[in-house]
Amino acid sequence: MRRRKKQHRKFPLRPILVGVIVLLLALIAWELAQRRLYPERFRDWSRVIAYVPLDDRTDNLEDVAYAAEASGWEIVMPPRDWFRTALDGQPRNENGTPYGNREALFQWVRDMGRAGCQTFILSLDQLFSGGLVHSRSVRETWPLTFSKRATMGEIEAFRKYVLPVAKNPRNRLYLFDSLARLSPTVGYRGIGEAEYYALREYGMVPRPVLPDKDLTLQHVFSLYPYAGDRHTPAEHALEKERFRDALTPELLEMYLGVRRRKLTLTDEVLSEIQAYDNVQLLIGVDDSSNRENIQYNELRYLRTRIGDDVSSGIAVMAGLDSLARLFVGRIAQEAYDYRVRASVRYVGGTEEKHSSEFDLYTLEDVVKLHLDFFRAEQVDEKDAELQFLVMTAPENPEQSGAYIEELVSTLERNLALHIPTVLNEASNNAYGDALEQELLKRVPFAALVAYAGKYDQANVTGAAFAMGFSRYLYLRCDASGGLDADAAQVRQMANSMALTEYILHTRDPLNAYLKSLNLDTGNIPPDTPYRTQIPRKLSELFAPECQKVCGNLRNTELLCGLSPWATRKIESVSIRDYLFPWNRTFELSFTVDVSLEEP
Amino acid sequence: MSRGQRIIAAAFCVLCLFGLSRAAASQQREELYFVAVETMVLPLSGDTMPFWDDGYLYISGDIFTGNVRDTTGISRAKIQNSMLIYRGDRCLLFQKDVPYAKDPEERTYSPGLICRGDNFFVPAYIVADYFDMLYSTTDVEHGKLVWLRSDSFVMTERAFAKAATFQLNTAYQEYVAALEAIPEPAPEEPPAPSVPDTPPDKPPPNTEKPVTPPDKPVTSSSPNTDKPVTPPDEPVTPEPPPEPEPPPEPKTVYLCLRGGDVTASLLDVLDRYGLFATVFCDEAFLSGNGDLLRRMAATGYRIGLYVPSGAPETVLERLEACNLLLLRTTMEKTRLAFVDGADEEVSRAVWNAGFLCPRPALGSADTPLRTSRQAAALLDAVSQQPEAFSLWLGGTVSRSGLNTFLSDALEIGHAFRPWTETTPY
Repeated sequence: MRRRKKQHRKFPLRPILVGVIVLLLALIAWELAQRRLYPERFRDWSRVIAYVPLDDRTDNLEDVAYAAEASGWEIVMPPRDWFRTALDGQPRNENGTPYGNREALFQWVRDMGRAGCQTFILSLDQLFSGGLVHSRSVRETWPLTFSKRATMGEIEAFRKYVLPVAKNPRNRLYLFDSLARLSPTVGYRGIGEAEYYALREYGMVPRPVLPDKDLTLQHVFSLYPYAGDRHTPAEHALEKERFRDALTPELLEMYLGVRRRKLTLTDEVLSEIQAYDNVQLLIGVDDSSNRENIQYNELRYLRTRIGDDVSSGIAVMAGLDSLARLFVGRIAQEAYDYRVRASVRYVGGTEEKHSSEFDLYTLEDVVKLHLDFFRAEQVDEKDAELQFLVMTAPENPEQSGAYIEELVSTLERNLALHIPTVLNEASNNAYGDALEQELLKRVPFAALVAYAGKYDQANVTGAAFAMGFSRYLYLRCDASGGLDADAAQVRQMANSMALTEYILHTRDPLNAYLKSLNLDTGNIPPDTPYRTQIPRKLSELFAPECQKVCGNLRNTELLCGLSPWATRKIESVSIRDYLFPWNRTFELSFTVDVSLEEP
Repeated sequence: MSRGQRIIAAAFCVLCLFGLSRAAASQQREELYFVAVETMVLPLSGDTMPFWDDGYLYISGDIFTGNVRDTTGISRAKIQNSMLIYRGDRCLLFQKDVPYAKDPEERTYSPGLICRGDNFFVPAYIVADYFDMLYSTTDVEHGKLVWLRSDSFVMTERAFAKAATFQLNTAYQEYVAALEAIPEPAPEEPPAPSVPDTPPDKPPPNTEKPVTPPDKPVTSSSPNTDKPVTPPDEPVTPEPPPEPEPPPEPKTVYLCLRGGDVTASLLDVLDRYGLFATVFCDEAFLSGNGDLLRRMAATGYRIGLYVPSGAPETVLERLEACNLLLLRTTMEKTRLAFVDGADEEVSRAVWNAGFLCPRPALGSADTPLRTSRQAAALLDAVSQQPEAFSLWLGGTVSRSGLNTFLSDALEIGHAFRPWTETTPY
């Protein structure tokens, strides 16, 4: 008996069995939970990009998805509710907030990595702050709460959820972030136009310039509050009293806190990714200027940390709205490992100037930056396989007609000679209707590799180059996407053209109409009594513009192969269901229906 | 028990049930129904008082005159045996003995009107839905308040009822005064029966007296006197006050709707309350409602796919086709799907393909939510559910029905969420 008891103690089978069963059950439950959340693991990931957008505006949704599809990739995103931004008074997200669900997004990234996805484009503003707009209103470290026992800071969450994905050398992570803008967003967290302009002026007040040896975060932060003499509070340097009055101590503390937090986070991410060859980071700067304002030391600090080699994929870029698209082109460049021989021709004569006060660089600098980013080789026209035609604002406005003719006739010649061409209309609408009419009349846009014609020059150049490189590399090296990729190219082209038409011809009269109804064009209340009239008016104004765009594309030949030169007929194209994604007239989204001739 | 006894017993039971239902109907008719349109409380009148019939609330078509017409723009025209209710080029034609109404495009809306003497009564939900209005019934001090208003009206039913207390009391006092002015019935006349001989839902014209104020108890011998009659020698023993019912426990309801003709107006109702739902859309809906899909995606609603069951490969193909339609419109695909009538094999195939299907604890494709009564019944059903559950409103849902349901449910404290990938119900 004694012996048997001893044996029983030695081999406690029952507890072991129970333990094994419990363990098995736990594993099954975990497996089921994983499958419930992210069963995409069972698919082929080789051509899929997991994408966490900056927010839910057209720039970050349609534009990115079309660029990826047109170059043979598919974008997969988390549910929109997790990255959606709601301006003041607009319907909030399911969790009751007007910003993205950071915890859900971090977990989504981790689980997509676990599921087998290899390529990621991730907005750090979305992951750390719930979107670009909200990132401009968070002034201190903002911990994330994953469960009762798992609360952590932003960088700790980055380490725990994002970096493990980068540990697999097969994976590639493309991160993008932003330098704090000169002013926060109007219509969010109570920021009105008075606050916007006052803060912008405050940010523009010249600050002391730090010598290179003193460029540390602490020194940059310490000079935020002061004007150039290092003693006068910057708000005292404002000339207009109305600006000074709007700048309450709380508002200034928020503004400076936001800047400190954003720059600190970017700095820490740069440190975290240093050890990884498969992680890239772009830092976008928009609504800026190249003067010695509050951003000046910040930018110089970042440049000292990053260096000048844009082709490494870690860089400060002009413009913010095109960063995700730039990475789509970069992904194509790396996937095909092909250096494009490109030439650039400027028309208009002002490429060496800043086109607006919102631009950090000259147009020529921006173009050079993007060519380097895509590792392109800039060559003479006769040696180029891809030509970028860049329309600048007219050097001599009286010669506008001649510039237009030069551009359009060059396009006609290129298309006749089967020269793949990207049109970058970066004139900031300086030619008005005349250029647009000539282009629509004489140039079949479907035969271009890419076209971008809205925004300020930094963003339009980013858009044109991203679309151009991604599509050209696809046509040159792959072209296996067939009808789907070609249809996406038509959608991309129609989207870009129609948005240009919207800005040129629709937005101003629509704004005038809304103002006549006493509505704020920057934030239309969702319960306005005019909610049926507004879409009607939008349709009335925009439908004719869409007709022009579709008329240019319909029954023309889409460029769908380079060697040999191949085209496919666009049988029909139409644009429908216009919507303001943020209930303001600044952005517009719509659906593009396309039908192509079967091969 | 012999067979004959069983038949007699069964007949007795049927009679008892019939009597109970008549008594219940009678009780219901004894409630006062106030009517308010926009901010106006209308005078109370026995002739035009709303009533229930077969689960529908009927209101008098004659309210669409005078101030109501001026305020809402809705008018009525009576032509012999029919009534036309119209605003601009939208109109509904109700005809006597025709069980539905028609609009100019020959679409029909049932049920039709009910005539009581010279008065034509029309279903409140049809008029409200057709003319983009909301209606609700709310308990007030002396009965119930039927409130019709445009859907841009932001005040809740309770708040309005509270704000209109003075108007309601005034209407009530005028009504009671008018009743008191009616001469007492002659002593030799037999008293009016408490349960009329006519069926409860079709009382004879102008004989209905549903209007006894609750604080003036009525005995069977004198329905309209203001003094209660009690036997003189019988001691009056006050009844103990009824125990208050415990308030229903708040639930979390994961709301699933099916995309259809009225989805836009249902979204309007949800928007008013700041709520979201998951809307399951079939191929036809996805093809023809790009604007709504964009609106849903941009404003925080969740979109799911709705397909009928079939062979697993067919179901998966349909889901993929639906997802492509969704992608073209909203730039996103979904993993939420409702496969109607799926068996185990199909469910497994759908699951393995990465889709998630709700398991609603309440509601079905036949659950209607059009009238206040249906809303009340659904609310009762909600209170029987566990703390959190999914509700599938796959049947006919009207704006008014949804509005009444949500309004009352929120009053109780129920919370509504869309059904998502992480909802475990």
